[in-house]
Amino acid sequence: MWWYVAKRLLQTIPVIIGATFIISLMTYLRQIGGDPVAGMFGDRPVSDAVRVQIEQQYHFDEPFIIQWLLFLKGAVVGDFGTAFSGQPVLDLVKRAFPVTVTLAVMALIFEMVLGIIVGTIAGLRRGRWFDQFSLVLSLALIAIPIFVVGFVLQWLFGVEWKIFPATVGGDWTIEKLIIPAIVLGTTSFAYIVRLTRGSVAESLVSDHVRTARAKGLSNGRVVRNHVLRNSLVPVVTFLGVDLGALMAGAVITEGIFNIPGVGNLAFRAIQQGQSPTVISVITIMVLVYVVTSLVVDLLYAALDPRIRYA
Amino acid sequence: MNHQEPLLQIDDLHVGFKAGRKKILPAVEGVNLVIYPGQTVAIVGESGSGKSTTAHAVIDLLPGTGRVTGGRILFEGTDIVAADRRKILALRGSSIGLVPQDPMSNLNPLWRVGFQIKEALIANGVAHGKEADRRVVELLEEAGLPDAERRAHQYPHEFSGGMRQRALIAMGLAARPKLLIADEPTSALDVTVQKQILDHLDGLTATLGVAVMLITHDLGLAAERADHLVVMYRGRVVESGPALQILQDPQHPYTQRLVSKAPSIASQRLSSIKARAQVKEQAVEQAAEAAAEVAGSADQLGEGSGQILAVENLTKVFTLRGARPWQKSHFTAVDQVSFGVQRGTTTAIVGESGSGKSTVARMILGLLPITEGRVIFDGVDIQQMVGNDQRLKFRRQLQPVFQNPYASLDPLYSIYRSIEEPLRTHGVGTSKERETKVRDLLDKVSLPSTVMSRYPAELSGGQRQRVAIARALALDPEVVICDEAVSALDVLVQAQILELLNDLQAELGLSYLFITHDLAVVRQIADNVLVMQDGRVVEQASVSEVFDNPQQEYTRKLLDAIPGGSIPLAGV
Amino acid sequence: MPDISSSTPLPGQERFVASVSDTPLREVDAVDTSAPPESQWKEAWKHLRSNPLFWVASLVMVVLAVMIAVPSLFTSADPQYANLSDSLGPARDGHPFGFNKQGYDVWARTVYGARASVTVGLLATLIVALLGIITGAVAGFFGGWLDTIVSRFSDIVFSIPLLLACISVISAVNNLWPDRGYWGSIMVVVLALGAFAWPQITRQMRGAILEVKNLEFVDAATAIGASRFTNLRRHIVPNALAPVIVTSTISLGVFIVSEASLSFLGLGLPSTVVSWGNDISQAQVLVRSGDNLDVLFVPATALAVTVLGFILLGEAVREAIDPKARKS
Repeated sequence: MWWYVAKRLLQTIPVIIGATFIISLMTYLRQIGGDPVAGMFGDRPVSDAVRVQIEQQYHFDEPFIIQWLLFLKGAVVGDFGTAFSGQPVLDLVKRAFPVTVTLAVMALIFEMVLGIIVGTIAGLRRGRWFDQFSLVLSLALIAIPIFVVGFVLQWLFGVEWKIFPATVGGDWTIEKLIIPAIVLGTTSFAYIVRLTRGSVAESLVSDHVRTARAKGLSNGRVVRNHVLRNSLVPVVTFLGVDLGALMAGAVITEGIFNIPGVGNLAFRAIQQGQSPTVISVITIMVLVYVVTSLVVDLLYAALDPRIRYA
Repeated sequence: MNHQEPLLQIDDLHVGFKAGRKKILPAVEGVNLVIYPGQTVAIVGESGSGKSTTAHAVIDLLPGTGRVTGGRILFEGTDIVAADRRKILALRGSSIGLVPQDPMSNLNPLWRVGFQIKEALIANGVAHGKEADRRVVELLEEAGLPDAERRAHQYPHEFSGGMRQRALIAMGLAARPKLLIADEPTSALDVTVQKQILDHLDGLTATLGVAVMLITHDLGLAAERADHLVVMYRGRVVESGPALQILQDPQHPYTQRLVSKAPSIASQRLSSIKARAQVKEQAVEQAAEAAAEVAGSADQLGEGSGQILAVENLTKVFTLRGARPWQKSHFTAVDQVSFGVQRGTTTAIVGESGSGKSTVARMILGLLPITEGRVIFDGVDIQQMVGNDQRLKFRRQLQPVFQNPYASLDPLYSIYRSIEEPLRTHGVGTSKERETKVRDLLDKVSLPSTVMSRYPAELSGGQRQRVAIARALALDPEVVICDEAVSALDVLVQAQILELLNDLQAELGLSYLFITHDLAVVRQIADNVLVMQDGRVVEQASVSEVFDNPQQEYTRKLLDAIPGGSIPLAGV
Repeated sequence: MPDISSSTPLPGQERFVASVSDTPLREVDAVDTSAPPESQWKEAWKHLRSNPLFWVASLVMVVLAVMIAVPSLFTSADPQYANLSDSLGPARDGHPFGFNKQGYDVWARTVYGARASVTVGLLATLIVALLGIITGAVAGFFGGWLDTIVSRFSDIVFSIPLLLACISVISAVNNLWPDRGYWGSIMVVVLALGAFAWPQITRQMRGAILEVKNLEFVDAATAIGASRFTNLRRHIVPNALAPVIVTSTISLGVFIVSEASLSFLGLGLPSTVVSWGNDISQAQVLVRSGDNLDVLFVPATALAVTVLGFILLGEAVREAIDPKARKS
């Protein structure tokens, strides 16, 4: 088991190195395309002295490889550079992080709890109306883009019915994040319903469930111990992939509901061409994904003894 | 034991499967069966006979679309077909137990084995908590599992096949049912393990006074273990009665077929031994002619000698990853194996799983690199072959037929294309000539030429094997290596294919290397036999010598373990 | 061992032989020549035919194809013509859904917008499928260090969230190549998506190849004398394609949504190109004010229906190809 952990940890290193390389490359492309210094100041003119100072500070004059390596060096010690506004990027991220984490966790809880419940009922009652209904619903939710769902819910709950505020803004509370969390988790919810449903339905007709029944176990016990437990495994596997999607979705959701989170930060930084912020924020997101993916894999090993004792 | 009251009585049972909205496809029709307390009754049949369906119907475990459409199932006098949920639940486990067929898929891989047995105890109110834990270990010991205390805490994938089956037996008997349904309880296991487990089960059920409904496809096994036999064919009972009577004097044409073709029984008959001798005579003659041709031709690889295949000190060592990434372990799958095959004869390699027999075949076929030793085909060392030209010739003259009919043909290729492929690869003939050849080959394997435009999914297992044989013969090979070629087939189909192989050998002068785990089959098809265990050759002799006068302990064990091998037949 | 001496059988266990007329014997393993030959594809087609969802999806496809090829069949209005006085105007003759903020006909823009959106989806899917199949086949077939390299690389690309990667690339290209025109814009979006979305297909293909390459018909082909590459080409890859086809069909829909998301963020197709994504993103502001919501819902519905169509098609194909997935 420990070798499995060690192996997984070792695997994350090339991923982080490779990912930062690619991201740096893309932001570098942006630099050479335009004038990054001018971009920082918008329409205001830039004096030559300031220009030279900024170029040195952000290493714009160095070749790409050096820039990347310098970034890596900084990242290791926790120095992600300074944003154009003058604040350390790490501080910006630290401030934006909590709301995004809260949003993501809420979305996760919503999609997992509701998704597994709906999927299980649908799988147990295969072919009946609940199953058909949940199938149609899940397909529709996958097909409708997240921002349309966002708009609809925003309009419905924020404008029409006025239950929740339409936008969140600087002072955020958990209550205000409820609708955005639902929006963020919608597509994943649909996938989890389908996954659970398929898994439960498959388990129900499997050999070992038949043997469990033959032992004299009550239906409830069969479902709990043998169907659900076995169905959890593919859902957990999906979770690992899902977290990446959640982070991408956060960019849009935070945009629609005006939430001051990491996604919003990334988006604005990209738009404004603030390369250090961009690289840093995306790198942090990648790191978060890699770590959580590792945790999910460990969870998977905990659930499936065949991995542990292989 | 009270012999007056039957324990289980099945009256005119009909079971069907829902297909589409209105149709019900009958699977079992008019089955009558009686089991008395403490008795062992065997239901014998091939796949599709309805034997498993009948068994599952008893405890209401038919798959989703299955329904009992008529008849009664009386357990201790009460009809349980119409019984409510609770009654059936109460019956399961505590009155009627099940030992299912496939030990891997029937245990939940995510729970410890001990826990799964404990569930049976708790659900049937036999024991709880610590008491149950103790009982679990006792039950596992009872089922013959060594080191039961430690094993109970392990997971199914850490057990071997035999161990899993014992765990399933422990589970089935946990709540001391009066009737145990054993559904092909050992068909997935090696023959020696099979015997051990069945012997053990016999002893256990005798001690506990448990009646057994034994489902099996093996007539010999059924006759050996049961007092009363029920033979099923296509959903109906065709014959039933005392086991020995049925074997010695089968009355229904189907039973007669089974008795004459079942390998463990048929192989004892003088007639099949004589038939084999005839085949060999003809084959050797044909082969000698072919040999003369080969000796004179530049097109064919080889000298035309009498020994067409010679294997010397063949060894295969696999390098496996150890527990730590930098550790490597070496596993010797085949250890210094040497033997020869004479033209026109069949040499069989017999062994249980892990014996290395398939590895030997794959090395000879050139599918696996050889670690040590030589393979000499008609005087040519295959590892010394130079150039593509020689290699292609070698491939033409040595062809395989594999075990799994469902994987040996490319599902996307029509039958025609599958058989034509070797001809194409070697650039033989024009497209018209190839078509003629394919028709000819299909004819040889007794398949209608209309099969050409069909696809593998439309054919049965036996038919697919025949296509595989046709494909193997396409290049007019001299040697055919059959790697468990009939092991996945039903008894009667198996007999058909063996007959076909024999006929082809006599007609074409082929030489066979026949890999199998079934010693009983060997007598019908082979002249010489090699017994392998753990990579080494244990015994090597002619078939008659091995059967009549086995020298080694292991060989004797194998012979002993042939199910039904010890049953005396009338007029043998 | 049972007792050889015949004891009286117990009631119900007497010797019984069924009449042959009741239980006629069939020839052993006879070929059923009655049914016409059916290839795997034909059988899959049969299943597909009987699935109502397949027909729904096909209908959507057909309508879409016509809409893209001959948009004038659906609307006579000009999507490029805008009259500010019509801004947010209600529906009237020839303009079933009214006008958007700039005065464009909502319905006409939706009809013409199909072209760009579907083109992006189609091209992106093709690139991803091609990349994924090749890399997956190489990794799965050759194994060893080649597999390790490909798998690590695909892990790296996979770890970067798709949308963020696209955003970065496109904004970088925006600087390098600001005036791209219609096809330029589409190619940039397509290449951005294609460059980062292939790992999923790679994994699937690799898994399928690993499964297929150990099947016995591959060994049989080797035994005939076929080279490794011939085997890969003729036997292994064709049999490994099924799951990839299913996933690609479904991801076509996902790519169309991605384009819309990118346009929403202002980084997809430029606003000069008529696309659903652009229309939806421009209509966003209206949500807060509650004016003529058709401006939002018409293109949004068109998008959703199209995506749904592709997803349904993919699901129907999956069920038809893979007998294990059937709902029977």
